[in-house]
Amino acid sequence: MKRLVLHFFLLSMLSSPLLFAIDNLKLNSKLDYTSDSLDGPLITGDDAQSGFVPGKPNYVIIYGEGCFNSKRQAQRTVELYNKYRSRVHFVVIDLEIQRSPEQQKLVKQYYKGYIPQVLVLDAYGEALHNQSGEVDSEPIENIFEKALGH
Amino acid sequence: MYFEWYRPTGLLLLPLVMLGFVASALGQTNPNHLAREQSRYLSRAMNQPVDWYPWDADPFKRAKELHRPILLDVGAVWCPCCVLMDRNTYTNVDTANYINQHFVAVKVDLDASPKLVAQLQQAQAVVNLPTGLPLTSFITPDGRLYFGAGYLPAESKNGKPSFREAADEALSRFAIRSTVEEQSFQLELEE
Repeated sequence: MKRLVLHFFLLSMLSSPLLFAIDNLKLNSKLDYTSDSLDGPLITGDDAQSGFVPGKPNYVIIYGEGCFNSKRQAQRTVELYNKYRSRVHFVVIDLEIQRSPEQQKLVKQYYKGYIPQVLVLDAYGEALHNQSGEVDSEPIENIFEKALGH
Repeated sequence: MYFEWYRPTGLLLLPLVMLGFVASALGQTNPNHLAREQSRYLSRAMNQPVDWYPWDADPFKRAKELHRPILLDVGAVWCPCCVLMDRNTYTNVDTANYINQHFVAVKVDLDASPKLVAQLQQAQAVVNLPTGLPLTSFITPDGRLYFGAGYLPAESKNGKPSFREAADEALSRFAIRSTVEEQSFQLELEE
């Protein structure tokens, strides 16, 4: 009986969004990078509603679908994901759809009304980077490398 | 004699009368409260049949008097979906009559009031509502943002509610004070 309870507990923990980050990140191939057209969600992936996951650095993008700066940052986000996917958790927050409670925690704490917004959080959730507007990949990679102890 | 005097006046009046018919068919009545606004986004809406106010104390006062929610539209001249909403929703006479009957309508230009708009976008995100541009918000007369969306099409499509559906939902929520208090964001109304 105890074993059953333990299995159930472990299973429910594993299925919790707190333990899984978004995976299989893909950029919407129909994005128009020159205008604020509505082309649908910028990034898709499995478990897209996940929030902060402790234990590794987290990269968070908060974006709006009809914003060309967000589209360009989405492109950089997927490039960073392809490079760091095994070492960094990625969180993708689309402001045009309803968000999970885990994502809402980040929205309430960090979002100030400007998009796109990029955050890098350390393994404990402390903000190492918090900026509105587009940000190049290089400074983000430097922050990742420092956070990963390189 | 009478006819002679009347004819030139009648000829002058005829185009004016015809213009009146055309304007009323297009839903263009007297300019609304945006007539004196400098912003291009606001001034281009001054002949819309919606009785738009700019963002200031007056619409909130009026909303209190009428006990109605405020319908807020935030947009910009460069935003294609704002043009769509203006063209398909806010110039539709039936929709405008519905808005004028149930809401106090306020229009805000993102480029003219970036700080205010950031506050509105943040408020809507914190309440876990879709945000974006245009931003469509529903606010109580005392400044609590309690419902809203981004772009709302004239007819619902691809799972997006239509403007009318969203507005009906806003009215239902407004009627239940506890729902508003439970899920809303108090705005700073100084600006």
